[in-house]
Amino acid sequence: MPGLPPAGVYARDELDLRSIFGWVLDSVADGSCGAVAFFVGVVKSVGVGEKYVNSLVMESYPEHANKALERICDEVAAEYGLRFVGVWHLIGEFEVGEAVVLVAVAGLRRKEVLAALHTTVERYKREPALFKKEVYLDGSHSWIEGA
Amino acid sequence: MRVSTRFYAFLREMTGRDSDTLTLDEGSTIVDFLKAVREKYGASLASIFGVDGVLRTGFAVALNGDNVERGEWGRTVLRDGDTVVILPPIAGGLPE
Repeated sequence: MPGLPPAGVYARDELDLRSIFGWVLDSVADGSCGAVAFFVGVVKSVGVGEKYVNSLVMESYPEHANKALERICDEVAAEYGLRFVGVWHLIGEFEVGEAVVLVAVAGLRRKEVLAALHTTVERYKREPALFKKEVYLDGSHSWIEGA
Repeated sequence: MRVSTRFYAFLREMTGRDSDTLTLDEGSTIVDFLKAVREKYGASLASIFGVDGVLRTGFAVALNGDNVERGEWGRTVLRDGDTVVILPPIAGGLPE
């Protein structure tokens, strides 16, 4: 979609996820879509082993992650016949409650849009080289293995 | 030839390095690369290799940013300047 930053990984100060909502909604203002769905991944306060989280560190192998995210968006859009699928994932250190990833899906009908949103979320959690470290209030940390 | 590699997540913590450059013979494959990594970092990375010397299940290998299927590692010939990365189990989230 014109004006939207490409799907991929961004340093936390490089992209304001809130701005994506506006860009996506502006881009469907022509009436070409009947449904838009968003998913936001947020740092939760209780992590693995019920330990209290102090912060979350996300890192990536960007050459891999950007290709994977672009491929996921293209393949899901084609699979569900959608106008648009986007994933923007931030990397860096985040506090509890901060958003780290946004997924947006736009298409003609909600059935396909919601199904595609679920597929996109499950795929971005498995395929790109994104690595997640929970840092706990007790000072320990854990690299989280994926689904 | 020289092949670059990078270490991410707990592999960086285990090796104490972000990256390295390995010198391999011409015609070397990903299997040869892994053998060189094991020889150089055997002590610190011992736990990611099985007793047979094979990279444990769950780890992947990317060549210049693209995953290479495990069955292709012995047939994938590397070239000077390639970047080969051992990927820890991908960590986007936990099973719901």
